[in-house]
Amino acid sequence: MKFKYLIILSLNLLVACQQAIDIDKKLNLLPTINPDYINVTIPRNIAPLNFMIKDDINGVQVILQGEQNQLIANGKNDIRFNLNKWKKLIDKEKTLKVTVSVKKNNEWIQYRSFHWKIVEDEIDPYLSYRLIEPGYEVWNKIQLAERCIENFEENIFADNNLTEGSCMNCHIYNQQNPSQSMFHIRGKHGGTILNNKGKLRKLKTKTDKMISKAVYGGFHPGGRYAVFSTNYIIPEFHAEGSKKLEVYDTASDLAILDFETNQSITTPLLTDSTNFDTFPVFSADGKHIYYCAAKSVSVPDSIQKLKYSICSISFNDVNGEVGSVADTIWNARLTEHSACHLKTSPDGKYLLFTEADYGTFPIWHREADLRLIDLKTGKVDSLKNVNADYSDSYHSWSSNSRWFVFASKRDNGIYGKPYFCYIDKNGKAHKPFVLPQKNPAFYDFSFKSFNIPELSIGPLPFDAMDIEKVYWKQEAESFSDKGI
Amino acid sequence: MKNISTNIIASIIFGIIVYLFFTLMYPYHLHYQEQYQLFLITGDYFLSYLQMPGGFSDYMGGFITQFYFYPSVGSIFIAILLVSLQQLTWKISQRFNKTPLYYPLTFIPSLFYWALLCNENYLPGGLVALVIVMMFIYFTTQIKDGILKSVLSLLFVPVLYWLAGGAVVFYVLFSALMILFLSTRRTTQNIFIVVMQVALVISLPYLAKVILIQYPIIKMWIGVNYYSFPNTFPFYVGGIILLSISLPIIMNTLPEIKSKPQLILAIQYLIIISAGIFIINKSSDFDKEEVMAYDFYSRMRQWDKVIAMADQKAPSSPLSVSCLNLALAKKGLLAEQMFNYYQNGTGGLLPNFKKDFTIPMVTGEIYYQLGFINTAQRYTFEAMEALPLYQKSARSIKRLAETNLINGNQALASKYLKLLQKTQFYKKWATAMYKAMEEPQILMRHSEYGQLMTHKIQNDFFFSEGEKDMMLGQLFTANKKNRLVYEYLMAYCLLNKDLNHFMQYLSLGQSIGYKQMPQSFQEAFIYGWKMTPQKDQKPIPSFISNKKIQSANTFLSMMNLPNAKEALKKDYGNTYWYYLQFRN
Repeated sequence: MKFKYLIILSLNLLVACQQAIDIDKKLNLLPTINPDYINVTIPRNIAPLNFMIKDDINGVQVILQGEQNQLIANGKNDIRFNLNKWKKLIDKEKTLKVTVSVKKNNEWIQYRSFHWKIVEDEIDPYLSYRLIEPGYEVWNKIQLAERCIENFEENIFADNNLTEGSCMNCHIYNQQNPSQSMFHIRGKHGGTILNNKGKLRKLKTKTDKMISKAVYGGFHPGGRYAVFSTNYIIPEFHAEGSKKLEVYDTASDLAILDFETNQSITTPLLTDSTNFDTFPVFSADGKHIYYCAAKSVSVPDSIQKLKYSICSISFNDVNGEVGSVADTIWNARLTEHSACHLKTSPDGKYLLFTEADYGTFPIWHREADLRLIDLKTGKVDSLKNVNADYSDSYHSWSSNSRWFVFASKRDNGIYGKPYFCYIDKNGKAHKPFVLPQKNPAFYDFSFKSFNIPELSIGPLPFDAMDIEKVYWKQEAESFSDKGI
Repeated sequence: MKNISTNIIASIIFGIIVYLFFTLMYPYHLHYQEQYQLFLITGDYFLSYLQMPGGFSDYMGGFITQFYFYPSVGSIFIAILLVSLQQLTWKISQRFNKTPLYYPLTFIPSLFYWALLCNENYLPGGLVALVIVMMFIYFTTQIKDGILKSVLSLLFVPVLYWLAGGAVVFYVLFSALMILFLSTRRTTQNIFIVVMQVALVISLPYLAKVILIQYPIIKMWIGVNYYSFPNTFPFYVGGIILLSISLPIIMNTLPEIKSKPQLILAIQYLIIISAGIFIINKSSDFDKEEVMAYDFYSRMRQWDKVIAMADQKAPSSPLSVSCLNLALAKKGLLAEQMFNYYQNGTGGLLPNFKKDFTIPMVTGEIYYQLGFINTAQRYTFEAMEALPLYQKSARSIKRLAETNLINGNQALASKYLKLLQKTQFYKKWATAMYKAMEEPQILMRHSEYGQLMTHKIQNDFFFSEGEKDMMLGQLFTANKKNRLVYEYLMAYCLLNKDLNHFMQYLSLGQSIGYKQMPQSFQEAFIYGWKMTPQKDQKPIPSFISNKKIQSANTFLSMMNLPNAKEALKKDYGNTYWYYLQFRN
């Protein structure tokens, strides 16, 4: 009997907790919330958008009002939604009206409501990124992590604690599929780690004809090839306060690696020393390679004249041959800007890239913004709705081509965070939102930058201990040049 | 009773000596350690430590280290921990033998740990772990034999592993030693418990590794950060813990002497005190303490204290000399007095960048004062990145907040200020800066920030480590009234023995408005003038005093004599000529 009363009492308390409070004052202003989730478009499978109130307050209540259901959440100065209740609500609704009320000086103030538009197009549920402090030449702890964006679970799949502190970077998937992915580990026992359905290979990619190991690259959709840039990379340090670092190449070429024969394919066109060629990717159908190209200039003196165009060249995946003529897709001379970080959408419709005033390393260029080329019409969308004051770069598509993720330094110019952006069926980009965290103050206390965020349709089939074993115990496979 | 009182007094005196040592003789080591951590008073920060085996000890170590901000407070914690270790050793030994005859021996582990703490790389978290292990041993010895003791002995192993990391091994070792050396403890049940404890101790690191997959297995075994460099195995700490747990058992085997106990006690104290003085003296590094003091006073902008230190004993290490030169420059005395002190080349003016956490921190201080805000920011960031335990540095975070305030990146400055607001000793400063940020005129009025904001580099260039004189020249060209930068530029040429550039740049100093040409400049000018072929010589300018010319003539006439270096040292040791001729 006592137990029954206890249950009734608990239920009453629960209901009481979820009741809307009496409002003393209504303001026709939007609340200042952190992160900025005001009027954003979200996928149905996203984790709760927990947020905090920037003002000094004594309490906050948020009502999420859908067409059928409602969710009320309370907090002291932040809101953390219950994951299960969130999922139940978001599953059934198309739009949520978000009403924020705060307790300030003993009165409850209600702000103007805003909306969260929920779209049917889901985003790939996993996101990988590199966690690194945004330093200069010295690095400390580097981790490659995988986050399930449907909840808050994060898994470290590579950690330089286990690999002699070596630098590790550029984890990318083939077509957002975790059964094929790769990244580089530098250091004595390092190499390019290639994951094929969980079987890990360590590759020594440098050949005689390549000027360096493989650097930036992308998979051929068939999985047999990957195209890479090989670069001599130099960092310089700006003296003036608003700039930090300039990273440029003194030479850069392209090479295609054949993972079946362990051969590197180069052509004179893509290894011309009077040109800088970098950031190559395959087209969605694998028949073209898109890359950035610039006439070499004297660096660093003429760095501001170094502007990269977007070019394309044909590729035959049957015999591994590269075409002999390159087309210019986006001309740096006409735009007087520089392109980098090319990413083709999996449906083949779009090419997303970063545009900066000059150079090849936009993450430290405040003006660097994302641009979207419609590959059918050649029309360039400046993505005004998406870009912000500081660098927006390092983007990756969701497998359905309706979402992309990018690293943005919009909040303080230094620490990059992953933002998600929806592209609707008309090609319109919606306001992006930052990766939600369980503790909404997470980013305030984090020292990490989220580098190279990449979406994937499932979890990776290996873990940090597998990488440790490959690093220490596995021999690296060599590559040789294919005669042309 | 009398003996017990004497013993307690001995422990109190020991604590007071430890306290006085760290407060009065070794305070800069404490400042040094404090600057390399950022202890946040937040739940998430606490939980982040608790995730790791031994994380609790590290957290407590960090908690203590934050009080090193005031060495007179931080030393209290060290004294309490060392006295606790001694008392626990004593209390455990009493379980076997109640005679206070060998009480002085219980100071030995504390003395050794004190010696370790004289090395700036040994962290207090290790001592916390040792005290926790000793507390658990003491608690276990207080339980009468039986089922409860057996159950708790097993239960304590994972708890202790969580609290003190791999140091739990010594708890189990103590149980084993008890069985080995005390026949009364040698029962089947006790042997079984020890076997189970051993099994637990071996399996726990592997179990932890399953959860904490990204850490090396060695980290799961050791747990606590005893030493600043995680790749260094803490053998010495292991030795002291071994000594601490075996000492009570050893003391039990010592003979019980009834005649002249006072004399035996006195002899023991005499030996312990003599050995203690010897060990602490050997372990202390007062040269490092001096460098740390120079750095501390530079960081605190106490330029007079830096110069006073140098007047007492001239510094010789590049880092100390660079702090002294900065202090002289800040007081407007660099050009006038720099050769009154030992100079060790350009490395003692602007030390070269090195990928570690000390040199960039000190050098960053100089670049900051000069107005190379981005370079100062880079050096402090890199210093923090180079910290081997991946911890953050309060000093670095504070500097990053400052450089971003000066550079006008308020969003980033506020990120760093928010972090500092969660600390005990930087909170007040951070809150004041937060308020100042909202009203830029407050910052502009600030004696230091205002000046640095005014002198901010407007025309961008790439900073080149190998061309420091060019960099100083660029900075000076932007503001020709910046005396600090001008004197650094000239000092760089002088220390580099580059008289060509010195002569070239000398005229740039007209905008500074010297009433009298500084000593070192006059000396360098005369030397350069004398070395110019007569046909190219212009009349010697009026800013060179006749006295100086006569003095130069004497020096030049004697400098090639066989033992000129020694002969000229007394009268010319503090001249640029002497540096030029005789310093490498």
